[in-house]
Amino acid sequence: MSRVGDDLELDRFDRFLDEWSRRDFLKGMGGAMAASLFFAGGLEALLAACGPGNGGTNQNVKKGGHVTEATTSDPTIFHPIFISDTASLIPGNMLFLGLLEAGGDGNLKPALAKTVPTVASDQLTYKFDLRQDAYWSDGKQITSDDVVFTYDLMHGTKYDYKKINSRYYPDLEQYLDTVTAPDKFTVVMKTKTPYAPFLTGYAFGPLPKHVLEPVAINSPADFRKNDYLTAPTVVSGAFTFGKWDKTQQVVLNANSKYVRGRPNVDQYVIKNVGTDQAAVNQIKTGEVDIAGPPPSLWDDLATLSDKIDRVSFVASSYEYYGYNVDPNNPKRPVSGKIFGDPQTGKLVRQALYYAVDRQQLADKVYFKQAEPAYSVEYKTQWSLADKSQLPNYTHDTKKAADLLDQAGWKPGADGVRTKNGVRLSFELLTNQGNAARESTVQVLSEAWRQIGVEAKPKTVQFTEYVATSTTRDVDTYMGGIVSGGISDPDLSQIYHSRVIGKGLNRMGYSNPQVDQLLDEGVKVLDRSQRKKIYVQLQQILMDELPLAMLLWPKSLWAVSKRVQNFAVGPFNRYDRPWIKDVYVTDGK
Amino acid sequence: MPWAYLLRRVLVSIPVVIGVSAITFTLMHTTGGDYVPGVSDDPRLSHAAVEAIRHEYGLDQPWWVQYGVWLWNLLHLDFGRSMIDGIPLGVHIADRLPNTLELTLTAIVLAVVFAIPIGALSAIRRGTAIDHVFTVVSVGGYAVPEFWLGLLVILLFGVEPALHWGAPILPTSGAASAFGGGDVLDRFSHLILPASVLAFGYLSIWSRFSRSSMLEVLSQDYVRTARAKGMGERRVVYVHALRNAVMPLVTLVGLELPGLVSGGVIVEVVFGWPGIGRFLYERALAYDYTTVMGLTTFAAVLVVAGNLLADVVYALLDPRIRY
Repeated sequence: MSRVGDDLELDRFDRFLDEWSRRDFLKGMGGAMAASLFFAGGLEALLAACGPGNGGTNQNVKKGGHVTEATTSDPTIFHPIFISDTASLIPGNMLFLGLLEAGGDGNLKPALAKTVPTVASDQLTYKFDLRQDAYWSDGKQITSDDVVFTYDLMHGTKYDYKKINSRYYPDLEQYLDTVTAPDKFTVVMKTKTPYAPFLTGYAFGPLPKHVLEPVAINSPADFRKNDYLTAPTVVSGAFTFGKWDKTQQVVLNANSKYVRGRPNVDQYVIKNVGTDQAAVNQIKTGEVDIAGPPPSLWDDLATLSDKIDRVSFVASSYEYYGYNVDPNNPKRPVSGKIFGDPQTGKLVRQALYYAVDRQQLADKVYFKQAEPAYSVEYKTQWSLADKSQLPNYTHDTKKAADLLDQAGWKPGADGVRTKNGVRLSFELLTNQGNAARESTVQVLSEAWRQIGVEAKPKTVQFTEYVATSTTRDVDTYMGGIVSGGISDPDLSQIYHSRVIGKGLNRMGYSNPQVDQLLDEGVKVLDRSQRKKIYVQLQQILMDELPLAMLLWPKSLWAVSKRVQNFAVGPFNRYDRPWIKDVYVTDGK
Repeated sequence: MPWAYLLRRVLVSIPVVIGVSAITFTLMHTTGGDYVPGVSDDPRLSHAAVEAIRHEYGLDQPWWVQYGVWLWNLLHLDFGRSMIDGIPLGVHIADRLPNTLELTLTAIVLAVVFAIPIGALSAIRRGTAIDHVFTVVSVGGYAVPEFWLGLLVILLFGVEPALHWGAPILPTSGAASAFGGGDVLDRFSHLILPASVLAFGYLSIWSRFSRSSMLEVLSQDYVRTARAKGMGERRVVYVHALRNAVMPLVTLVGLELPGLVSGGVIVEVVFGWPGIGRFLYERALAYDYTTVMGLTTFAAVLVVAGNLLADVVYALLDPRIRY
């Protein structure tokens, strides 16, 4: 499972690349780097790729050879319970088999578990039946003991899990009650309360107990530093670990003991080429087979259609801007009262949203590699409401102006609207180093100027952006969220009032009805019931607009024609259940 | 006393290193230094999870405690741990330093080997066509940014041949092939393009420098005296003049010592060379500020050591200098 699925790292990397490019470094690559954060993308191209090209199933499968995939940063650690960067997710998911995996359709699929468990009638218990034909690469059978061991590393009383320090232990403390193994091939997990995101977020594949238990017992604080986690000797995934030449490449070898059978290719190389431009150059030279080009180089690759397939699809990500909607925000009381006024705040928020031509933004700033977003959920999310169920904010400057009039904001002498002596003027914060975002805030500012609103764009370093917005020292701010695989539709970390100033609720948004729906949404386990709740949430949030969704960016991939069955898609960017079927036509 | 001088210099450099680390720490801290890469704004992590991770890195401590701990570790030659992977910086450096040294030393040797004769020749043949050609080439080399030159040679030796003839003439990325690589020939083929580009930058500066230095020396009284007493021109130039002309170059090359580690950043990035410079660059982009701090301090130590070494070599070459 690609639980971590979060390419914020990659995102940041690209932003910074941009920044450098604007200083007199790598100027030639500036545009190229502008937007390779959009690794996500359009279903139509995915379908195209599923034709005769890379995604299709081909009967003339060749065995042997290798595939080289370009990345722009090094992995750090290989097991998913410790991974927090996207560069590690690709090798991590190839080396280790999950209990469940991301299906190409966005649903969980069985992996080490025989089936995707359904929750018991108590709404708390999940029973995993494990495959009995699964073996570690050293020949030992994979059993429920390994799974329980892995959870003990993160939670419970057996080991000093806080010292072992998995990324997820605080969450598991909160949600997980027990993990037990009634027999060799059955694992039972029990949550503390009914918790719908559990399977999507917290069903992790095992680590080998017979290799790692001594470390967990003897030196838990050194667990993460154990060589095993950067050079795993015993694995369960499609590939075994070959070597890692630091800042250069990770070489994986086909695992003949992989439960689904040995992969077609002998080796899979994940090559760190440093920059997007280098990745594009090297897919041209044939030094790499797979690369994620930035939107600005997308058209350039079209000329090589005899050698390279281009695959794009909208993945799980969005770009947004947020308002300070808290009239009691001590740091920004003025904007808090403008956007958070109980009577007129919503009208102002809607007016500004109407004034933005999001289609134009997608076309001009994002090189047509994005779609206007109409919901607070990802476009790929199963709970996404139908467009007709949600408020329609088609670009309409007149309506925007009317709404501001209605809210009592009248044009002032200098062209900026005023109300009770307050000018409709505020700061619009974003992070440096992302050309697309820096352009977007300018476009927003210009669009709002047309309706008598003064937005002053301000760009700061990414870390400062995070610090400033987290402490809510902002009027409005623009950012983005990216996810790698299947993610739960739960939006509590963004909109719940309990995470004001803690999670991503940097708007100071508080709506008891939304809180209640969010709480209910994670407790109801039936998907159709859940969808109703999330549709209602989308309706409220798209009406109230504490965050205004701008775009759903695309994920772009270039795949050499010699590589077949590379079925990358919105949910399978890092978690690739089909990787064993990939083959190279020349067998090299 | 050279030893007393050495000791004094080493002692004086301690505040320099501490100063550099303090400035770096302040800069990193004021621009949001408590940000944890991959964690701080992950919508799926609860506040408690984020806090636990921040606690692990000591980011919930006041800044002076954080800096104090860091400095204390530095005293024990511990440059800290990466905030991204928790691996000690010493390990990261040890993994990548050999690659960087391979690249930069090759480039420096290449540059020195060509710069001195080119400079000398230009000086001796001052005002002739050959002098003009070298001048144009070196000024051009100085003006052309490394990333541009790097991309150009990648296009010329990698992309274009691959598109037209099916394979690149030389590898454009990495230090060795993934398979069966690592032997001398393989590494050498990977080294040619980046080392040449890096060397060209040095060469342009150093050849100009060695030309002007040579011109200056050739106009000195002792050169005239040597010629007046009937010494052969070759002996005048290569024995008397050249040795003195090379001396200022020693300082320049010594100053490049920290560049041995970080000076090749751009070339390393463009050519995907797995060295320290590129590592610093990648980690700066990923906001791994403990790594950036550690590497900056490491570079500061090298600058100080480089200057010191240059002074010592200077003394060895110039009998007039005594400490």
